Amino acid sequence: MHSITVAIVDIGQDQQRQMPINDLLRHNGDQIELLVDLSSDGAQSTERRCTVRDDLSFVENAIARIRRLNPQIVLMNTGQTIQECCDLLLALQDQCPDTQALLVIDEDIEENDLIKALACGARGFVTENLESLDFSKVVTAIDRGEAWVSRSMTAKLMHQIVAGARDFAEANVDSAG
Amino acid sequence: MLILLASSNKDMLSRWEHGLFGLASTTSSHSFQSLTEKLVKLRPGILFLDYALPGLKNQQSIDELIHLANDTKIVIFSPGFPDDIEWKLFKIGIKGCCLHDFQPIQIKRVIDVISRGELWIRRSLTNRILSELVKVTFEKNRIEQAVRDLLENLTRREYEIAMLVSRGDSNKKIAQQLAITERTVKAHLTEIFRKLHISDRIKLALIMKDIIKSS
Repeated sequence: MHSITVAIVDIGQDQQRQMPINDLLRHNGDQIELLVDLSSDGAQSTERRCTVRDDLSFVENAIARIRRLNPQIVLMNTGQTIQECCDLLLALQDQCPDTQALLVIDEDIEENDLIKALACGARGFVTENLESLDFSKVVTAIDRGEAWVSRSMTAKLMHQIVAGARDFAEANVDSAG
Repeated sequence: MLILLASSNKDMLSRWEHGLFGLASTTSSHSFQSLTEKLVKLRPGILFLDYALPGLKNQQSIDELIHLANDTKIVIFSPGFPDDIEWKLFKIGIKGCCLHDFQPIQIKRVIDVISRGELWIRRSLTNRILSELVKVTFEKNRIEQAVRDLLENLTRREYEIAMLVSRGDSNKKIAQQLAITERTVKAHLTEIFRKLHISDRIKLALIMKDIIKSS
């Protein structure tokens, strides 16, 4: 079985909050390969490329890193920081279309913020309470091209789509009239 | 809660009734004609619909049912649809798609999920939901941007009047507030409608409310 490459992007997180995801991925055997910034040969040129550039925005730096690591899936450790996450998702769609994004969210996140992030191209979400989660199952599903969203969220998204489709239909009737 | 069971298949009706026993009251229809009548009259919370119901004409009939009883949650039972057809049915507003040979224990689970306001949908289709959401949002943003561009063509006074219309103010009230004549208000509105390519104040109010909401 081939391993699925995963990279982590932290958005507005402190170091302590990064750990659970890293630990979780390391305990999922060979199925998931976590890509990190450390260069194996210690070459200076690689080290330099790993450095965050102050003259670039967060999104530009993150995209540069994702392009360098080229993971199949990027875990966006978002907490509640949605705007930067949305900007990154849109840039990711444009510049790394083959990389799928999975959000790791705070349980208290506003529902509208989460829908906004999904509308920007995230392929699903999991909450920060990851202990009971079979993470390899999530990552494998995303890699297969499936989405990972809760049943209740699925209904809300569908409601939005159906309402949107009706609005467009009405707008078309109006413009035709 | 009342559940309307629409099928002419006795085995199917029996499995449904068995699964729903003690959970909800039920009534049944055996043709599309009687289904539409009962749907309008009884307004059931949920409709179990056999896709092979006599008189049912595919997607068109289901669209009709949704318009007849917008609050009724429709769950369709069929031998299984290709993804594209099932997706179209969800897009017109059905809440669940099940195999026609579902057993009572599965019926119980379906009713539990649907009662909670969730969907009974295959996992393989959830990716379409996200892709469609991205598409719909992109289109919505594009339209909002187009409207904003059109609004930029309005003069300050026209914009002011458009905002007052969105509050539901009459021409007379707008005239009083802005210390101008009603005739001038009408002239401004004519110009606003022309610039926004719309024909009446209701559409103007809706556009302005959308703009306020999104900004």
